[in-house]
Amino acid sequence: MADDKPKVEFIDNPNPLRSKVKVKAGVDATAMIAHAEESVQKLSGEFETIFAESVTAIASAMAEVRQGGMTRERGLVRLRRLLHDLRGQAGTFGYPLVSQVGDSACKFIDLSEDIGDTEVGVIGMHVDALKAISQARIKGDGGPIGQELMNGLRKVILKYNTAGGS
Amino acid sequence: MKAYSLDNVSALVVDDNRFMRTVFVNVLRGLSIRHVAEARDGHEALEELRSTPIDLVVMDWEMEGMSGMKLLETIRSGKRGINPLVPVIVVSANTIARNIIQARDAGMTEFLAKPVSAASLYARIVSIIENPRRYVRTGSYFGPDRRRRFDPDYVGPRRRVEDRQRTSLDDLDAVGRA
Repeated sequence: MADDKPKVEFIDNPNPLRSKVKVKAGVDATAMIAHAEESVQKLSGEFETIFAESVTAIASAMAEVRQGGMTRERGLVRLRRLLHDLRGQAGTFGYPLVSQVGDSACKFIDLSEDIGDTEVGVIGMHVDALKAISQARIKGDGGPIGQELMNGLRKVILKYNTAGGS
Repeated sequence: MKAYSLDNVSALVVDDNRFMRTVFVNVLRGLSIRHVAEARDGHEALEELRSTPIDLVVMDWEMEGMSGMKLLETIRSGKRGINPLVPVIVVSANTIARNIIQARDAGMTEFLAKPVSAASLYARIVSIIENPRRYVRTGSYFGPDRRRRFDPDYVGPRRRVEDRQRTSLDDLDAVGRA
């Protein structure tokens, strides 16, 4: 019986990182983090270009998705990838609302068993929202407009879920 | 939070998105890590890990070609002369629970949700430094202990095979005494 027992081996303290670092006495981590954040924000100009190009590419992929058939399948893969990249980047550069809309769209795609015309309609609303944010250059959470936009998307998804999908 | 001097740390950033790699490199260099290597995909990452002593891996989970999961499993397998104990921070914008559970069960050290910030990435590095977990090897898993806490007063259900065996033997014993 003893031989049937699953073997578990523990390896203690294998962390080499600990031996490579030292505490900076009298230094506040906040200053270090602020310096690193400053270094990231130097890329915000590049992100603005990426954002604009992504919205154009997303609109083009969405047009393919609306066509149906194999074109839809191909467009959906491209669309999902573009939305995924954008949701991962936008929040870092002061566009959390873009990340929220992108996240909602990706989750909707990921959790949909099939993408038919009803699902395409819901995804299209997310794409329209991103276009509107890009055109109006809505930064941050978008205030009351951003809240209204997110609530609108949530209601659409809730209605879709209540109706039992397509 | 303590300020750590990270000058001597060697980090590897793996992401198939060029811009995201630049974001990570800027954060890590901004945190004073001097040596930051970059890999565009899993194959480049494995080559870098084989040829350079790396102390920390920051990797994207959803990559085209070799997936993050395949890369992490290969790292933890210790094959190809790669250090299987290297701490790995998995980064993903996909925060659906099943995605995080997959990364945990493949042996990640920490999970970081995108969008990232310097503060969130530094917090994960500090967690690795200050709360190192022992590694566990079972028939189906190798990686950091997935239990982050040990509570001697735990009274919930015991799910380990050995616990279940013990419980059933205790039950038999109780029946025998009745």
